[in-house]
Amino acid sequence: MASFFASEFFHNYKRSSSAIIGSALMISFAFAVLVGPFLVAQNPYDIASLNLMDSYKPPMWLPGGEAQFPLGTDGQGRDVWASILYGARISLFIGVVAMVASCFIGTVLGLIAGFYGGIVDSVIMRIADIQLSFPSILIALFLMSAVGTGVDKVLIALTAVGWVVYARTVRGSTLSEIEKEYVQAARVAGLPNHKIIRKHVLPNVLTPLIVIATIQVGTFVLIEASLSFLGVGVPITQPSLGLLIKNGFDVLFSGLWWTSVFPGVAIMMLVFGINLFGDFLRDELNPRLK
Amino acid sequence: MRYFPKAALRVGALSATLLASTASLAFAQDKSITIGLTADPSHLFPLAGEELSSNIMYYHLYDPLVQRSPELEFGPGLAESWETVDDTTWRFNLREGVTFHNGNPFTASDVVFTIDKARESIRPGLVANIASATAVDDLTVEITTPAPYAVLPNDLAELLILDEEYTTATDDADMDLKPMGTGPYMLEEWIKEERLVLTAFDNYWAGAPKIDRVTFRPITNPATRTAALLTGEVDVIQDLAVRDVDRVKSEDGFEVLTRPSLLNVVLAMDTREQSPTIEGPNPMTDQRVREAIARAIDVQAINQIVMNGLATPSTQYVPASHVGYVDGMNFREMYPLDIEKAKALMEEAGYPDGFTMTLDATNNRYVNDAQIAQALASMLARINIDLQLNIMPKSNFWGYIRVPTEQSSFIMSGWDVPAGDAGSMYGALFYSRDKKEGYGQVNRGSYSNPELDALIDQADATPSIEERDRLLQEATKILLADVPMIPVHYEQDIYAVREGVSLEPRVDKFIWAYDMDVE
Amino acid sequence: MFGYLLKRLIQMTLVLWVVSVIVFMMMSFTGDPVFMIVPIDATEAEIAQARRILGLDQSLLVQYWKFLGSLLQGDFGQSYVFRQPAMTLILERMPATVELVLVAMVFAIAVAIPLGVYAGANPQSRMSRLIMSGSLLGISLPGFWVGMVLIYLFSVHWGIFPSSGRGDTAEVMGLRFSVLTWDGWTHIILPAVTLSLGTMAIILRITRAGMMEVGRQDFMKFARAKGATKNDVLYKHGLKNALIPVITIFGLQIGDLIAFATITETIFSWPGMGKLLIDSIYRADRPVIVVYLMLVALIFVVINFLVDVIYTLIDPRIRLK
Repeated sequence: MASFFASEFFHNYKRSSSAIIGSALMISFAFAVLVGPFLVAQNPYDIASLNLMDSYKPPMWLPGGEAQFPLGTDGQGRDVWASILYGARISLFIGVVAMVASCFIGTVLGLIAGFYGGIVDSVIMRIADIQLSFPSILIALFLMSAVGTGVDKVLIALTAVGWVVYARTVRGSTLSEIEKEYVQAARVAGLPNHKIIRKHVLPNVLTPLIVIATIQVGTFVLIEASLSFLGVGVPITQPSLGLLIKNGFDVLFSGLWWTSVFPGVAIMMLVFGINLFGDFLRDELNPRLK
Repeated sequence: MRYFPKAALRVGALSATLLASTASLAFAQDKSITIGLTADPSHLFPLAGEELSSNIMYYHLYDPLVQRSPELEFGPGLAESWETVDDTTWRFNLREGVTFHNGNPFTASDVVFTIDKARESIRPGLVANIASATAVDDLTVEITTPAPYAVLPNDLAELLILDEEYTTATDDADMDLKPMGTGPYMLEEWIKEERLVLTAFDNYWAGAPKIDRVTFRPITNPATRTAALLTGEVDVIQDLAVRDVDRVKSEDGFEVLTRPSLLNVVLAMDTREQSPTIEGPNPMTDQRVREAIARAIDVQAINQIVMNGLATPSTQYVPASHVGYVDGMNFREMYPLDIEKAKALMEEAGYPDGFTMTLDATNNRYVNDAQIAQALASMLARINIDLQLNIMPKSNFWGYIRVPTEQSSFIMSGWDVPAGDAGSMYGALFYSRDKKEGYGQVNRGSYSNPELDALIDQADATPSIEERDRLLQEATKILLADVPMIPVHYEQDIYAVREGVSLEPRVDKFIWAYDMDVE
Repeated sequence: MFGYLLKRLIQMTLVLWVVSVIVFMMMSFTGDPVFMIVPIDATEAEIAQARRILGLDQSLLVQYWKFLGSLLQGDFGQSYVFRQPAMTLILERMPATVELVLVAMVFAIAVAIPLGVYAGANPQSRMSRLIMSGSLLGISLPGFWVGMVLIYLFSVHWGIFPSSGRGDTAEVMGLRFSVLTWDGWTHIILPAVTLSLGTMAIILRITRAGMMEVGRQDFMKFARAKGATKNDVLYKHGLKNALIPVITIFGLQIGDLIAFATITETIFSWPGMGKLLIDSIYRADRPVIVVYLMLVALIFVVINFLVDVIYTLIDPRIRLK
């Protein structure tokens, strides 16, 4: 640990205000997502606990607002602040889980393609090429429209679009890695393939993935929000940040701006934080750009 | 127009000068109007399909034999009069001197042709109650029904008459783009998803329209639609979002028009012994449980909060104007909100601890449908019914809930009866399933009551409208006592117009520029 | 060159075929389109008749086979909802989308390249850091939210721009353009700005990276050594080289713009093909969705091909293979 604090990475981190802001945003969201639900009185997903009479209360500093609902309420009497905490939880959960799944699947396929080559390589890379000829939002939109709404289905759709970038990166690094002498040596020594991959190839191809993975969480959060905005994302009983914005959009012109503006600000800060930090990581892990 | 940069004013002034110098003065006085619709029409060929935007266009371009007034009264259209010859034969005397937009005269053979064409189309339902049609002479048509059918003229209000010569020569896909009818307006241009422009047909048989040029613009998003009205881009909008009503009202120069629609939002309860989303025996086979659910639903609160006061709680399954409505009976008074009573009923029926089931509902079909569903879940929680929500877009919904309803226990949907008669609704929704062709096809709760079936059979067999009314009223009484379905509310159709536009909302929602005027 | 063309052609055919299969198979999961068309109280016989008319009474495999058969004859099938050829429906709406995408692209380039060049030339300045953070913000904003806020502020609150539609258009060679009329400009500006933000940020970052890369290269050092001023060198020699990577991502960005146009068009009621796609998804109108996706795939393949060609023209070191 001490060596980490003494490292160049940490030194640069301390000097980069954007990295500090980014990570601060990320940490506060992580905190909000883990602890937040215990800090608010209302569980916005428990429909039975909502009271229609509380609907469309403005934020507490405006006339008619109540301290009980600091950022106001939506049409079901959900506290917007509580909804954001729970919604960020769904959004981040989807972003992180889909990223992990994509990363895992993409890395495995990339290793296989790069290490074994031949027909397996061709098939995997052709699929990747075809996918890359479409923007991911279109693929996700299409998949969701086919399978219906739900958190699980969003995860499937995002993973289906997300694995490609890992597969390509890992395949590339694997190809250059297996040319290296120590891998050749391990092969000659008769080490089984899976051991070579795990011990020698994998550790050396992971570094570039860190940046991709960080940024991807932000991308996924935004794609999920877009899907939910179009009505093909998460179910209405568990609104993510995107769905909160959509619900708010429907009443925006009635002057009930708080139901869409605050979730929008939340999603922006979340993704901005992730991108700021990802940007810093990219610079750090890619020494050429220094 | 609030947005109107100075440069645009200058350009506008310039082109106006140019126009004034070239066009006659009368041109400048032409009245025009722009109407913001929720969607672009899918069709302009009446036999190609049916949805609201298309219907609106159909009635501008074509005419039916029987015209429906804004209040749903049926009167002469292309047919000047009609009488029954015997129990199953009707004679329609057609209006003389009517021409299609291309100048072809309208005759009896056009009517016969339209009926035959409809039978082979995607909308055979339009002529389901017609056995045959024959032209007696150029201006007389005889139509027979398979059985005595008292409301044939009401059905004919939906059948729009085509020009035989033109329609035969034009293929169906082209009919959608180049319509040809006798209606008060002709198609000028249709740029898909952007605008559809109609111009007045000066030789219209009922007199030339007051507004010369009508532009329809599809604006799907309700918020955008409101904005388009407020910024002056359109003069009239359809379906103002309920939450925007107060805002539009508070603006100077705009007016909000509402009227109760015929669309009754209803909750169908499964009455089978086993229900797809309920473990164990189905509690809703017991009338007391159904009544308890009805009593637990605070329709008033839904109206006030979810609908912003812009719904009309339903008193029965059909509106008061309809054949089959029982004066003085009110579902809301029979089963008022009463949680204690509802709990007692649940206990009596043997379900003090309630049960769990799933509600299937849409999120883009009815006004605030998804919010209503959520409100229902919190209301039913008070009598210990744990209501799970399965909310989907309408593209998935209709197939999902379709009879034999293998996946649903509790369904929120709407029912719209523009024909002015409860019979079609009762026959479709409450007649025992699989007993008779054309009956019970939408009986989603599998309700079955031989007594009710018999009443519907009798009503559909009598040629007398009074007798039909009496029989259907009996049916209404049985249904209100048995509660196979909970009527929630009628939506209100909400329009907003800028000042100077006169619009009388129609019961059937079909905006009709012929009846409108603009200052 | 010929080998390259052939390879690209085969690849394209493969892509289109796979897209058609996947879309056809996936769509069988969605709602039955017949229920979107028949009245709610339709009887079995009416439903069967509608199915027959739409050609939905056959198995999916037969349907696909027929689709493929007529596809080879240039017939892309009919929309279930409109009963018009799906290709016509899309082509009618394509110019509006293309116009929106191009205007958004021009906005993006006009803002991003100067800022990117500046930020790349002066990487340490406070202004550059601000630009970079701003560009990150551009990527982090959900487009639909931006559109919504813009409508609220500019249309409803201030009443400067209209909120929806294309406005007046002028016709040139049978195609209608909004950018040729003042009214059209007031209509296109909000959706185009909304759509351009993401692309703007990405182009900006690539330009900056390109500039920084160029600054490190030897010829720059030579030029400086010859006594040219720093800015002279950067803008005269560096810019051209820095823009090469921008061209490579150009194709991808056009793709993203077309994709995100679906959302932007939905918010602003822009009558383009993206809105048609969303509507068709809601209506389970399978033929339109298939043709849209195939068409978009085709556009991408063509654009990427063009980008490759342009790339070789600019940078002779690269050969097509």
